[in-house]
Amino acid sequence: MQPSVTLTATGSQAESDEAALVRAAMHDATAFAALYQLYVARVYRFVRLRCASSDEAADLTQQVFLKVAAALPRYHERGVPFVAWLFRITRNATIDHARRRRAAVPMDSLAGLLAPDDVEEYVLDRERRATLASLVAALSRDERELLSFRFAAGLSSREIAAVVGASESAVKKRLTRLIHRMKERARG
Amino acid sequence: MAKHVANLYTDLVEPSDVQGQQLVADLHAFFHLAVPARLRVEPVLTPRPASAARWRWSRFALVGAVAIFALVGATCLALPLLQSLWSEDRGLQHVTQAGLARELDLRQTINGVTVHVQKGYADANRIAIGYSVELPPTTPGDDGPQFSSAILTDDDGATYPSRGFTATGDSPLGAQVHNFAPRGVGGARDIAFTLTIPEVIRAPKAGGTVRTFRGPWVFNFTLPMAAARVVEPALTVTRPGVELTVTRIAVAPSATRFDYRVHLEGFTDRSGAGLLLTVSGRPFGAYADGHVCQPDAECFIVVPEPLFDADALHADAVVVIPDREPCAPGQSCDVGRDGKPIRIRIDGLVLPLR
Repeated sequence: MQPSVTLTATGSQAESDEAALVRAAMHDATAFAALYQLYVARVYRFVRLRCASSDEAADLTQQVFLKVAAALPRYHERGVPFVAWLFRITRNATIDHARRRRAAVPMDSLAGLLAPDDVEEYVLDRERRATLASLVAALSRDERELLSFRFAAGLSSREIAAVVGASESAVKKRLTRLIHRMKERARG
Repeated sequence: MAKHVANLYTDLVEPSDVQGQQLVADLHAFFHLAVPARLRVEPVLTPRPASAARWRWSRFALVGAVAIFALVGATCLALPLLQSLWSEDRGLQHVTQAGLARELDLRQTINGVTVHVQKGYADANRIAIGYSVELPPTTPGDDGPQFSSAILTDDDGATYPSRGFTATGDSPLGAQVHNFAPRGVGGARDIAFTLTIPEVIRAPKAGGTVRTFRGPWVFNFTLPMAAARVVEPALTVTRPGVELTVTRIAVAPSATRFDYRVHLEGFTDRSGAGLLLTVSGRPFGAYADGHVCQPDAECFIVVPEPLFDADALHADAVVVIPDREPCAPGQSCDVGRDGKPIRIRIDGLVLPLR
């Protein structure tokens, strides 16, 4: 009779699906694929607004995941959630990409940039989209990045704080003021 | 719609602020861009498993390797690089020690790029091929990680699906172990394979552009296919609203496959129901090929651990039942919108292996 093996979980009950998936992705190919599927849309949406075309943004998204694949063995949570670590890499890749292109995509072309084909659920009519584009274009680069983190990447204030190295309360305050200011401007 | 979306941004606007709610709903739609179809495809690359300490050691070793490379050639270095990667997989380490892996030693050079297929192994749960790639020397600053896709076919014309790969190498010299899914359990037999590597991609270390080296490099070889021991336990574990059934277990020398299905009662708006099995402190499963398993569907987990000599596996499991809507930022994700749990633990699961 062969002895049986006893193997137990090391993760705590509170461990999130994401943390388990990240740990699995370090040594399990299908788990990395799952991690990719989980984040590819959020990374793409974040980088899209800094690229001239959807093709360029798709290339940059793939480069981000190449970097993530190469760096994943060095990732340790240590208080920084995986999603914040991922978007630090994404943000740096976006900055490098903009430097290489030597010219940022003019944000006042947002209305044209976000053609109907880009919009997954065509829930915004042309007029509202144009209004929003002009509101977003009027913001500073940092403010637009903040909005991208929150609305395109879907990060919480705490996660944004971990990406940009600010306090959670400062990020939240900046976001609420920004929304308030945009609301006032929209009112005319 | 606006109200539903605004619920994701309750930290930014008050529920009574109608205009604010409309604005965040519009911003949500504005930034919610369609993702190109080509990005929806499962990636073919996976990171190599390594601890941080191991990685630091590897980086220093690889810097040295670049210098030695020019003096003694790549062959002497490619062998330990692949062996190190191969033995990080406990299942492959086990079959190598048992003398079941085959040394292939096949080499081909195209346009200055040499692919050296060194090892191969096949059983009913996976096929693993290990090879090194030697790229033309370049400036060290441009040397990022290298990856390549690989296609495995056999003499019958069948193509074996990729199960991803592990890779190492931050220099002109890299190594990969590529895993493929076999076709059915079958009996022990020899199979004549063809491995085709269409291209090798080198990522930049920082900045720069991805460089593609085109092949194809094609190799023909035969591997003995080791059979699996199949157990049909029909093991069912129930928790409130959840029924987990393990239908079949295939135990092969390098990996064990667990087939299962999850039945749910009373859960609503869930995107799937998968099993996460923790073996040797490593979680496996819940997602298959990038997708969460669906309720009542036949799903499986392949655990690349050496369990062939064991009678049973005592493991902890978690049934993961993700909500259809993503968890709102900053919110607890312990329960779905139906108030029922996202994760259900099943501790002390005993899975028979004979």
